[in-house]
Amino acid sequence: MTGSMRLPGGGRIDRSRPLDFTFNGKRYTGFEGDTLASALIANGVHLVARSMKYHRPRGLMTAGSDEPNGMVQLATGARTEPNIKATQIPLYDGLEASSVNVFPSVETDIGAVNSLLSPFMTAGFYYKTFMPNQAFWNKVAEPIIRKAAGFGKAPTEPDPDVYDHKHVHCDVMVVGAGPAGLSAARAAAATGARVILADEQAEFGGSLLSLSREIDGKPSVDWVRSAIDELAGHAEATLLKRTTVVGLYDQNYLVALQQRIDDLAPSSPANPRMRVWHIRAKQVILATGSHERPLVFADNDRPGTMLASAALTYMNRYAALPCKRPVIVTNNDWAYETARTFKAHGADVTVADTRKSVADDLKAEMAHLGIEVLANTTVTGVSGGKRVAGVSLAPMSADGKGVAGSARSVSADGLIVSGGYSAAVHLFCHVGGKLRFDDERVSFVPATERKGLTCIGGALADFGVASAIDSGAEAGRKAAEAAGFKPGKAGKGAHVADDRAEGNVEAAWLLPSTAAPNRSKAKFFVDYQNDTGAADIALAVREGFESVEHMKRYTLTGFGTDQGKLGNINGLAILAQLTGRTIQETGTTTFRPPYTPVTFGALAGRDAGDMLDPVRVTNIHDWHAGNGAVFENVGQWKRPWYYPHDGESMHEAVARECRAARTAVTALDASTLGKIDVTGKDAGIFLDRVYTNMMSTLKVGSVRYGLMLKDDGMVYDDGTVSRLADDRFLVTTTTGGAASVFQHLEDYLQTEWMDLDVYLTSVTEQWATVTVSGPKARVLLERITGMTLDPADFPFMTFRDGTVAGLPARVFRISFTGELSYEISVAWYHGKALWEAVMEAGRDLGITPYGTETMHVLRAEKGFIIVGQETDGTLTPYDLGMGWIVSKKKDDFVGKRSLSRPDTVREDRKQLVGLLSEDAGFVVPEGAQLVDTPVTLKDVPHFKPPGLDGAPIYGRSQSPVPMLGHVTSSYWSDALGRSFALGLVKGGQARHGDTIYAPLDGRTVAMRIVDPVFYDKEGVRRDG
Amino acid sequence: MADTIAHAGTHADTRAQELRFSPLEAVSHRLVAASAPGRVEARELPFTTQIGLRGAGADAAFVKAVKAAVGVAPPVEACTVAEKGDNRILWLGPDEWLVVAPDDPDGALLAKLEKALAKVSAAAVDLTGNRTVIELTGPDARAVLEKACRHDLHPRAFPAGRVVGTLMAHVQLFLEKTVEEPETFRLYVRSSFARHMASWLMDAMAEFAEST
Repeated sequence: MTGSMRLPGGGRIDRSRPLDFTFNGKRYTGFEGDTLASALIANGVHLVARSMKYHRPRGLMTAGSDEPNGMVQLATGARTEPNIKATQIPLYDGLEASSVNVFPSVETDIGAVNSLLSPFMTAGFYYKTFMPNQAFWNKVAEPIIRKAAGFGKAPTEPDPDVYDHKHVHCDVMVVGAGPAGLSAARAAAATGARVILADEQAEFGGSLLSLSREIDGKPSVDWVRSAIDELAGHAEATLLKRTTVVGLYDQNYLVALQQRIDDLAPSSPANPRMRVWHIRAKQVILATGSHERPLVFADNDRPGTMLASAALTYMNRYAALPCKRPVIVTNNDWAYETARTFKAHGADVTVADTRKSVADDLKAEMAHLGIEVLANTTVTGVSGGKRVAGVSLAPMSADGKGVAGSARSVSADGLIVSGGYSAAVHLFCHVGGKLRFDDERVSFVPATERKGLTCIGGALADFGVASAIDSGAEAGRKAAEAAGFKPGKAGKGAHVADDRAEGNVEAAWLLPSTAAPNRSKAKFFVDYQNDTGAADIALAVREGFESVEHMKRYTLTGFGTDQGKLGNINGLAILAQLTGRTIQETGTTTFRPPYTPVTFGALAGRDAGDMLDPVRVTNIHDWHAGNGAVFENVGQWKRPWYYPHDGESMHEAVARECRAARTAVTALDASTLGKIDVTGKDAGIFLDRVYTNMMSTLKVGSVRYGLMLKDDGMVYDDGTVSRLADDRFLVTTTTGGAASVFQHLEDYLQTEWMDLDVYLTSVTEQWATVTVSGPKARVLLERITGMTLDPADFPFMTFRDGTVAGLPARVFRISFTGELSYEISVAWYHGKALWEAVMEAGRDLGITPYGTETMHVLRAEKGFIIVGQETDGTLTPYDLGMGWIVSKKKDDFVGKRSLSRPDTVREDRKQLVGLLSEDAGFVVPEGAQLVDTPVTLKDVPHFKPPGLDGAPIYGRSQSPVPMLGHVTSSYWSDALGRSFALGLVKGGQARHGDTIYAPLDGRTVAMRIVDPVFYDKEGVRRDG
Repeated sequence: MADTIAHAGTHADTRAQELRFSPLEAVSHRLVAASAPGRVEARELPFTTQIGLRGAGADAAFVKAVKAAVGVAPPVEACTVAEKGDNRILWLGPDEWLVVAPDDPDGALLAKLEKALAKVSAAAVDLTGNRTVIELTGPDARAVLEKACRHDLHPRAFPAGRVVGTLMAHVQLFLEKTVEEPETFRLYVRSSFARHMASWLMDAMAEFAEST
C-alpha cells in the first residue's frame, strides 16, 4: 500500500522545503526535518527489508537507534554505506537508499525460500549441519552462505570522506537532551561550569518532541526551546546534536561520534564528515532515556508492526500516519496515548490489553473516544505477508498462561505493540555498573553507585516528565558543585499537565498462544535482526545453554547492529520463564561499547595516508630528494637507500657507490644515529656498568666502540663512546635503538643506581653528522678545514673540535667502512651547509653520496655486525666472535652474570661466520636456512603425526634435517668481485673451511664457512 | 660539570649564522599560507635558544648558579614557567628544565650557565638544534590543538605560564602557553619531526582558514 499518509498539519517538518529521494529505485518526496524512515511512512512504505535468515518481509519497528529492521544501503559508489538505520538518516535532497539483504528486490526475494526451510534452520543449524565435514563447509557451503548472509555491501573504493577527532575536557557531561538531560545541563551551566550536552538526534528535546505535554502552562516544545536558548547563552556550554556517546570508560572518559555532514556534500579537512569527540569529564550525568519493548507472539514481525512510542513519534514529530486501522497490543497505560493520537487523526483503533483489567477511568475515556478495549487479551496470530492484514485476538485463561475461548480476527493495517520500557543503561554498564531488576517498573535499573556518575530520568526507569525535569535540575546542580562550582538555588518544581508518569505496566513476555512456539508454524520473534525466535531460546535451554551468555551466543540474541536494544530483555525474560528463574537471577549479557556502530574512517580520523605515522627527516633531506635518492624506512626515518644515476639498477648503483668508497671518496648522511649526552662525576662508572668494556679509562678526546647487553647477556645495542671532558661523554646508539636505549639507561639510573651523579640528555637532533669516507677523504677535508689531519696528530678513534666549512664542528675518526673516515658533526641546522660544502669540495675527487645499502655492504665486507640484522636478541658477544670487547677486569656490568650460564657457554651455540657460496656469482637470499647435507627443498620433510608404532613419520628422506642456522647478510661485493655473506651457524667458529648448504627454491647452494672479515683483514686502510 | 672542549654553536661567525637552515625554513611560506589571519596563525620561531638543564631543585648551589646565569631560578612547581626578561625556564620534570632564550648564535648564555655550574652537580646541554619552536596564536589556536592534544588546554586548566610534555599527532613535544589573549602556544618539536608537525597543523587549521 502506498499513497500519502502525511498528516495535513503539525509535526516538526518544514513543509516549505520538499526533498526528493529514491528508495529501491522509486522516487518519493519528503520534507526537511524528516528522517528517511518518517518520509517512507508518510509515503505509505512499510516493507523496507528482508530478515537475515528467513528473508521474512519486514517493516519499520522504531523511530530511533533501536531499529532492528529498517537498515539500508545508503548512497552509491565510494560513499556507499551499508546497514544504516533509516530511522537515523536525516532526509536530504537526492538521497538514494535501497534495502539490504534482498535479491532481486524487497518485494520479490529469492531468499524467502529459506522461510519454507525454517523448521530445519533453528539455532545451531549451520554448525550442526556443516561443521562435521570441513571440506564441504570450506568449498561449498560457506561461500554460498556468505553470499546469502550479511547486511549490505561494504564500499569497494577508498573512502573519499574526511573524519577528525577532538579532545576536550569538561566539568559536567550530560548524555541525552530529553527533559532530564536538558534540565541537568541547564542547571549545571548556570553555575559557570564547563558543560557538554550531547544527543544522538538532529534536534534536542528527546521524548518531548513526540509527547504532547504542557510544562508550566506552555507546550513542551516551547520549554525545550527556552532551555536550549538558555544553554546557548553560556559561553562554557557546548551543545552537540547528532552526537552519539558510544562508549563510557574509566575515569569518566567518553567517546562520542558526531555526524557533521548528512547529505552528499563533500567533506574536507576543513569540514569533516564525522568527528569523534574524546571527552574527559569530572562528572557524568546519564540522561539516556529508555527503550520500549515489543511483545512476543505469533508472527509479530509483519510489516506494519511498530512500537507504540514510535507510532506516536511518527504522528506528532513527523506528521506521518503509520496506519489507519491499528490494533494496539499493550501491557501498560502509556500505549493509550498512542491510541488517543491515532483516534485524533481519524484512525479506527482497537486496543488489546494483556492485563487482567484496565482502570475504569481509562476504559471510560476510551469508550467515549469510540476505541474498543479488550482486556485480558492475547494475540494468537497475525495475517498478511508484506503488510499486516488482520490480528487474531483471544481471551486469556484465568491463570494468564493459556488461551481461553476462540480467537476473534480483527481486520487491521497496522499492529502497534508496547511491552513497557527498559531503562537505557548501556553506558552505565560500560564502566561496570551493576543492575537490579525492578519488578514494579518492569525494567533493569542501575543498582550500584559510581563516583562522578549519575543516572536520571528514563535511564532510572523514572518515566515522568516533571520528575525528569526536577531530578535533572538537581543532578545538574550537584554535579557542578562536585566539580567545584557554587550551585544556584533550586528552582520550583516543574508543573506538567497530564504527566502520565505511571504506566501501570504488568510484565508480559511470551504471550499465551494456541500452540507453543516450538510446535507452531508461526514465528515468535525475539530478536528481529537475527531472526531469533522464542523457539530458538527453548532449544538452547533444551540443549543445556541455560546461562544468559550461552543463550546469547547460541541463538545470536543481541548480536545485531541494534545491540539487542529491542529484543534483549524479552529474550532473557523468556529464558528466565523457561528455566524457572527470576529475571534478576537470569541476569543480562554484558553491555559493551560502542552503543551504536561507528564507521572505521571515523576511528582513524586524520591518522590516514601521510599522517598515519610521522616521517622523520634530517636537515639534509631535501638534498637527497633533489638528487634522486631512493629512500629506505629506518624506524620513522627516511634514509637514502641508494642514489641511482639515470638508467642504473639498484645493483649497479650500489656497486658504483661501493667502488667510490674503496677507491675515491664518499659521503653518508649519518645524522639519524641516536646520541646521548652523559654528564656527571660518576658518568664513567655508569658507562662501565652499561657497556661490556671499560669506558672510565677512556682519555678526553678519545673514542671507544661499545657493546651494550641486556641483563640476559644478549647483545642489545652498539655504538661509540667519546669522552668530551672528565665528567662528560657523548654516546651514540643505533638509529632504531635511540629511544629505547635512552629509556633503558634512564631506567637503570632512576631505579637501580640512584646514588650515581649522572644526567642523561638526548641530543640526537642537536647534531647533524656527515661521514666522509674513502682513500681521498683527507684530501677532501683539507680543502674545507684548517684542522690538523695528520694521522700522527689525529689518530684513529679520537675526535677533535674545530671549524669545518666555516661551521663549528666536532670531527671523529671512526670508520664503519674500513676506509679512512671522518665523521663530522655540526649543529643540526648546519647539516645542509656542511653536506653541500663536502659535495662541492669533493667534486673533482669523484665525491659520491651513498646510502644505507652501500653502508651495509661495506661494513659486511669488514665483518662489522648490525644490531638487529646479525643479532636478534639471542646472541652473546662471544657468539659474535666479539669476546675481545668483554672486559675481564670489571666487577660487574649489565648482562655479565648471564654470560657464564651453562646455556650461554655451550660450544654449539649459533655463532657468526663468513659464508662464501660455491657459485661466486650467486647472491644467496638473506634468511636462507643452512643445513649440513645437500638436501633439496623437496627432501625437507613435512611433519606428519606419529605412526602407529609411535615413531614420527617424515617425508621422503625419512629423517629430519637439522637446521644449523641462517644467512643474516648477503651481498655482491664489488671489491671482492664475488658474492659473500654473513650468517649464524651452530658451532661455526670451529668450522671454518667446512662446506654447508642452503636449500633454496629450485636449487641447493653449497657454502664454505670462512672468517667473517673479508676485506683488509689487517686494517691498513683506515689511516688512508 | 665542565666541558673543556668548545661546543659547536659557540664562537660562530656571521657566515656560520647565515648558513643555518631551520627545520621549517623550506615550508615556512606554506605554514603562513595555511594560517587563518585573525583566527589562528602558525609560524616557526627558528633558532630559539634552548638549553637542557638537569640538576636538583633542592640544591641551593644549583638554584643559585642557575639564577645567576639566567636571571631566574628554575621553577619547582610542576608544569610551570619562570620568566625574567627574555629568558624563561620551563619545568619539564622534577630534575629537568629547559632554558629558553632569544637567538644567541654565540652561545653566550650557555657559556655563562656552564661557568656558573662548573662546580655543581648538574648538566647544561645545548639543545637549540635538537628542537624547533612553532608558535600558534589566535582565538582558535586552542581548537586546532584540541584535534590532537589530550591535555586540558582550557584557560582555567592551562593558563599562560604553563608547560606540559605530551603527544600530538604521534609526536612527543613540549607545549607552552605563553599569552592568554589572544591565546598563544609554543610547540617545542624535535627537529626531525618538525615537518610532520607542520603538515599536521596546516591540515588542522584548514577548518578555520576556509570559513574566514
